[in-house]
Amino acid sequence: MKERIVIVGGGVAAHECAFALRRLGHEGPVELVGAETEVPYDRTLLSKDQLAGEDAGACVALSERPAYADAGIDVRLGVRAVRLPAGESRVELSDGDELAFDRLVVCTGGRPVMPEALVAPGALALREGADLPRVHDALARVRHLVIIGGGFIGGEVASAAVKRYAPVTLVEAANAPLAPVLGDDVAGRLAEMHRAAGVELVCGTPVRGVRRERDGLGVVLSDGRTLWADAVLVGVGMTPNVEWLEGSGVELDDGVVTDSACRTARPDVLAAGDCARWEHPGYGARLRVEHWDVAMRHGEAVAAAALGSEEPFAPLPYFWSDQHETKLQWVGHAPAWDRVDLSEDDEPGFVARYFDSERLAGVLTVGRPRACAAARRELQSAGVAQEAMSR
Amino acid sequence: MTMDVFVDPELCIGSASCIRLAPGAFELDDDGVADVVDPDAAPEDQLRAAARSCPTGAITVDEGAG
Repeated sequence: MKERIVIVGGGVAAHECAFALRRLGHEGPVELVGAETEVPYDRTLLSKDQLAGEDAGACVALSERPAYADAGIDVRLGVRAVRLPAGESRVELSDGDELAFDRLVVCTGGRPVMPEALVAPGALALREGADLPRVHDALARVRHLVIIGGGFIGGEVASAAVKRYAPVTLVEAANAPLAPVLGDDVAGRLAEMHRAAGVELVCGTPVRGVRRERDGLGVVLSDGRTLWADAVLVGVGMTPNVEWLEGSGVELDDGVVTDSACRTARPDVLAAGDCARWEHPGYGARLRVEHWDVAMRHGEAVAAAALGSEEPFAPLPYFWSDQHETKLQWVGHAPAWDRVDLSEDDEPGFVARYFDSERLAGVLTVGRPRACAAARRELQSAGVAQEAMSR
Repeated sequence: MTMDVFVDPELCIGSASCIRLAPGAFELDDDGVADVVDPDAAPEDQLRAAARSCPTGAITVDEGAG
């Protein structure tokens, strides 16, 4: 096959796709077009080691630059796709150029949601390598950092902040960080972990807005209080980078809609990673997942699909987060659950098992990597998901 | 000085992140579990990157061994 395959995106899914195409024997041209100026790198470290360390260091490339040349992968960086004309096999780029393709793989990922009311001058977000210097620098000098949003990014930034002795308050609209996802019992334990580590938590109070004050920023809460800060980090969720595909003939619905084998409504266009909403045959539902391990596997799956494979992509979702020197790990898929079994003993940490109609749907482990491994095997043998690919 | 590298096979989920970050040092076996095949194949900073990037914390590097 000598098809010309263009991959739009510069994250882990794009990286895996590019190299997997070669591993699978594709001989035609492969071009990767990334919006960031770095070759694909390990994004998970940005909010972990790189932020918590004295020195942020450089992004850790998933493959060094020469590896692309060796594999015959053309790389264009600092350029984004701006339009895909309907019925045409060419993509228009932000530098005015355009690329013709036989097959287009969309891995454009997502970006942090920045609600207008929260975007005061100087509001920080952390998603890309380019965001890191400002956030890292802020932790070195802040008198008070306010983090808006108690999700995984918020929790990791809070962890890095206490580790670097930066006074930090985490503001969460729900009763506890992650309560809407994990339930009050589990979230309450995670809240305890934050407090014990020195994070000030303000929960149950959505942020009404952030305003400029004479000597910093004022974070105005729904209960009327105002928290003073000299740095504000917003971590209230992600939105997929898919606006450029409007009018292209590709179906969009909070992401690029694909079938179980990464194929969009256009036969010449496929999608994978954080931007894709795909049909997961194991769950009989369309999923859009923003987790590193899934994106990595998705990248390999989309490469096979681009070469004609119809193998469904059916991973067992997994993610992890490091907070206050403790590993939080999740395995499974539990959009709804009706019972949580918590097990604790004298050791720190715990295991929470989420059931939906008596069926085990997902497991959260905190500081118990071995229990997570066991849960993964248990869910796998239950047969809901199969490994995406044999490597 | 060499570095000792270990993979805990019980924890490994076969993300293959280490295989990308430290080319030549790791391989996935038939069960999709990473093995250390040649720690000298990759520079030490790549081995450290593989360890700290491992999604399940399955890789340990022992500095000062040997």
